[in-house]
Amino acid sequence: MKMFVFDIQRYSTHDGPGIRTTVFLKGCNMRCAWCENPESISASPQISFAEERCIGCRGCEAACPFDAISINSGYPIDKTRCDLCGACVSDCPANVLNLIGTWRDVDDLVSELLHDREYWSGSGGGVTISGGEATLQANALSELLTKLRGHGIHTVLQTNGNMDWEKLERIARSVDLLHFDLKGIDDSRHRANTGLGNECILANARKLSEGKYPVVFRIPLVPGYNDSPDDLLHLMNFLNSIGANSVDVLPYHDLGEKKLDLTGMQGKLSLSSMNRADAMEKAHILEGEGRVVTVSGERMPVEYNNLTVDHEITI
Amino acid sequence: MIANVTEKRIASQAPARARMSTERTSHLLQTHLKVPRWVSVDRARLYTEAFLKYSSDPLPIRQAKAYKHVLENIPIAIQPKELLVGGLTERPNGAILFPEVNTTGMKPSGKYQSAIKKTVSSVVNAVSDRSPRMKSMRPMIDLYSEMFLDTFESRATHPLRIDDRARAELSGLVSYWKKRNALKRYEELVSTLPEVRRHTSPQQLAYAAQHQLTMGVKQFYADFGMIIAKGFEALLLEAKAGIARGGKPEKVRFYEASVIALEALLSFADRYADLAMSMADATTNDKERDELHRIAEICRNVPRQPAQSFREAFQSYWFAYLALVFDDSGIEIPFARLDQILWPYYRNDLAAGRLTKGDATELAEAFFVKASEMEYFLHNTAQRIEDGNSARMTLTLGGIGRDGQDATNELSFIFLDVAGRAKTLQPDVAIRIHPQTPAAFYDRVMEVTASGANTLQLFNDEIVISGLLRSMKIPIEDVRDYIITGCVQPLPFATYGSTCASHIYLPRTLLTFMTENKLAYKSFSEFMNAFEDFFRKIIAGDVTAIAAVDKVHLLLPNPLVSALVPGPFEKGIDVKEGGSRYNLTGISLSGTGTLVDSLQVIETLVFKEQTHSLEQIVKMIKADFQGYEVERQRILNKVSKYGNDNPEVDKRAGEFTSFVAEELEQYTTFRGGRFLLGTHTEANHVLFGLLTGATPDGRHLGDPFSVSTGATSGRDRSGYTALLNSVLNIDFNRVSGGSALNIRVNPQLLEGEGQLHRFGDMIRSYFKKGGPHIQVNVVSTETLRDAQLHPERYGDLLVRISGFSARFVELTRETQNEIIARSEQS
Repeated sequence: MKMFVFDIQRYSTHDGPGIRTTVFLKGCNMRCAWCENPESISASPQISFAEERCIGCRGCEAACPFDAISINSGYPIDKTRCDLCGACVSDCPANVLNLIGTWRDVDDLVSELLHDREYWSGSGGGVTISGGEATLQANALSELLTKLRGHGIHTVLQTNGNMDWEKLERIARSVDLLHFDLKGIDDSRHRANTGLGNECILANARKLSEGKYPVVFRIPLVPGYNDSPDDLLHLMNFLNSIGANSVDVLPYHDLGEKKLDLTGMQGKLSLSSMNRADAMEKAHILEGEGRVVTVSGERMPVEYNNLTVDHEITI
Repeated sequence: MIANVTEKRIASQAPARARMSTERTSHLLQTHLKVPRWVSVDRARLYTEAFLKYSSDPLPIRQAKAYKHVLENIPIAIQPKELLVGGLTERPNGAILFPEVNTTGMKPSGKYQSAIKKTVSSVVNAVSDRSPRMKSMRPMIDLYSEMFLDTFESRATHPLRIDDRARAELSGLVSYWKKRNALKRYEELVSTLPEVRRHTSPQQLAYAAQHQLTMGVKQFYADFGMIIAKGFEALLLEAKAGIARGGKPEKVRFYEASVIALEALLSFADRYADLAMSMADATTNDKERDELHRIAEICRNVPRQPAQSFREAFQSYWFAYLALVFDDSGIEIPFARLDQILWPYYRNDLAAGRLTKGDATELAEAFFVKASEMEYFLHNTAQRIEDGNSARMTLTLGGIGRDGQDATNELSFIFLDVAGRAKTLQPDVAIRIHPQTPAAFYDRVMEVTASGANTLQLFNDEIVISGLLRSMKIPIEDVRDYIITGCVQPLPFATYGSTCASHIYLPRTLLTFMTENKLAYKSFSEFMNAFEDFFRKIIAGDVTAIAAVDKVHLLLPNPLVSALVPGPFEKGIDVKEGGSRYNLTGISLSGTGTLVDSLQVIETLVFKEQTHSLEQIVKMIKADFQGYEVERQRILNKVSKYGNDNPEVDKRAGEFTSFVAEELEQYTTFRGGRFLLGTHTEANHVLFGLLTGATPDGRHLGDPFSVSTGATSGRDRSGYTALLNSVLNIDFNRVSGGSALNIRVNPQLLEGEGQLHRFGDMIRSYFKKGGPHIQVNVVSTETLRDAQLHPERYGDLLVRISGFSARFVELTRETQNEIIARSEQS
């Protein structure tokens, strides 16, 4: 079986325990305004263009059978004409044009991933499957997980959690650890921010927690979107109510903005990245009894006590 | 905003002050750092006087008498607050000269030096402004101008000072030795061997002669433990017994020379005792007087008698080390396993309450300063190759002992601790790691690495030992006791080198092959077969050249080295004649990655896709890709490169290195040992890259080759584990002569919970898979760029080059740029 992959990262050290290889699958059912991998959203291939490296040979223009490309300034491809044949990409000598998204046979993928198995086993690591939303490729995903398990590889799956409980449960049983995103508690704001409501997600989060599945709830914090004291208090209450014991806060990074340019996409937030100190201050609000709250996978200093008076009063 | 953040970060990484544990050692370090590097002519003068005076004596006796004259008369001094005494020159940071070996680059600046240089550079400027071709050749022209127009005083990198009186004297000595030094003899010898000339002159394909005739044989395993325990007087008695036994006249002469040289060394130590006594008499400070009396007492006892304490053992070791330097002329004589050598004395003193851990730490610090005060003379080209660091005297710590059990001890921790704080240029520290290495030690090693102290290189005992066993077939105990020499070359106990006799420049050999041969091949394997045939001749030429060097070295017998390396004293045969218990000679390949990438391009374009002919490729590289930028980009981006875990490409590194290693197995060295193959480059991948035209892999004329065992800078784009897997295509059981792998780490990568552990786990996994060596450069690119702009702020910034460390600001611009370009994989 094949799966649609857009990136593989080796020596990945922030996506679960130990040294990991992270496989990024393409295609997502959410449209988060702040997405850091906007090229992962579409389930079809895309062509990226790294303008600063272009040597101006214009080979791509000649290679394109549809007259869809013209190098002037900015993203050069007319998407209404382009049929993603990739002729320009193969012709581009400087790899300025690149095809994002390739169909990979699961067996081939597994054997490529296994090149790093000694590094995983030597560090308590393994493979993390990320997205996009990996569970959209449920069959291939299941095959991949089964095969990795067959080799005794530790697996982590990162998901937005928006699916039937039966499906999620099945997947939860086939991985060693879930990274489950929580993007906000207020349903209408969630819908505005991500394109989908959160009823199903919150219900799934509760069931995972109650079922004692190994799960880390990951909370992307995006300034102005889901990081107000109110937002955080609601989150904290929810985490308390489901007895979540492991939470990882992911401060917003503007990495995605550059990728929008590369792929000729719209929708910049023009937000600057959140610094770690801010993120920690907010993450402390999410702490609760028996709960470990980390920021980007790292524990916060215990002696940290920079909470503002405001927050204390609200709490 | 971004600029601000960057500035802040740089400020927070601003050079940490070198830290010593006591006021005394801080003072010693300050003294060392204050004195500019300089050249002393005393050793050369004294040696020459005696050499002329004893011209009728047979060779070893003449040499020993010359040493005696040197050691009895060379100016000595004891610096205020010193603990360990003894040096090559009376002031710190002085280089002594060995004109009888080689006078290249020894001529001091003449009256018209700067005028000539000025004229030449204005002519070059005028021409290169007009012609773009000249402009692209400019770095090469500047290099030649440095090599031939600059002196050791006027060169930009690592200049050495000399005073007017010494300058005049040196000119005279150079004129005397110019025609009769050992290198000259070598050149006469090889002028009768056209194959050697063709293949191995430094401007050609391999670099053989200069090494051992500039820097000594230098890599040998002296039994320091034996001499500390026995004392030199015991050796003296053995030598006298050798004379009494009689036998062949050469043997008797060997022992006679030994007696003269050993007595000379003892009187050298006595001179320090006498000096300490007279300084004690002259001082009015009671504390100082006591200390000087103590020094006198120690120097009366050691190295003559067995050492009675940790401090005596250290002092005895130091005199023995100086003896080796005075004798061999070598710049990188290994410091060996000091944690093992001194361990019995440390343990006894500690148990008897005569010593504290703090005392031992202070002595270790004093040793680090002493080591850094040893300056070595290198001519301009050699200086370029060693770039920034004129000596790499390696201290080996940890690892298993002769019994196969872990031998890490408290002294290993103490030396490691000092290495992490002192930030001195010497010694170079090599850490031996094996599965039983204590976790606490390994963690400390990783912490020192992450702190950016940047002086540690890690070796994998398991593969190093199995590789040496396979290549040398000697008892396992002696192999387990191996030390690191030079950059990364392992050396078993009781073995005489050189471990780095020659470098073969693979990209140059490929270019020569492609431009001098008819290129009619039907398949890639035909092409490879022809190239390998060509390469066999290079190896044969190199082996002959090295033998010629070894033969010339017979003119320079080593009575002191022969006393300390096990073997010669039992046999009555000098080390230079093969007297050592074991012998080996190391040859290293430079530019393996560049060769592999080039071969991949040839196979892909010419034989697989058939888009180009070999002639077209030759045409492109001859034009340095001018007018072929689209092709060059295609070559760079569309053809897989070594270092990305693509077995199809990487296996070629394994196949080619194994081919060379096997080819070398048929040869025996001049001294009857084995040839070992390594893949390390020092900084010659930069220098010889500068002198080498474009290569089929898209590398421009003048760009560096791939570094050591790794990829070409910036081409390993798939993460650390991919690079490591690529390197593991090389069979390090065959390529057992030392292989360096440098990886650079942005310090941020190691910050944060668990990150350093992950990194450490990665290295251990690499070792488990059979990687022999790794060294980690912890520096950020911004820091390095800032250091280029503001060298004055970064005087203590150490970086690793290839198996050694150097001060970044003392490196050439090209090496600096190369370090910056080396891929950051964070």
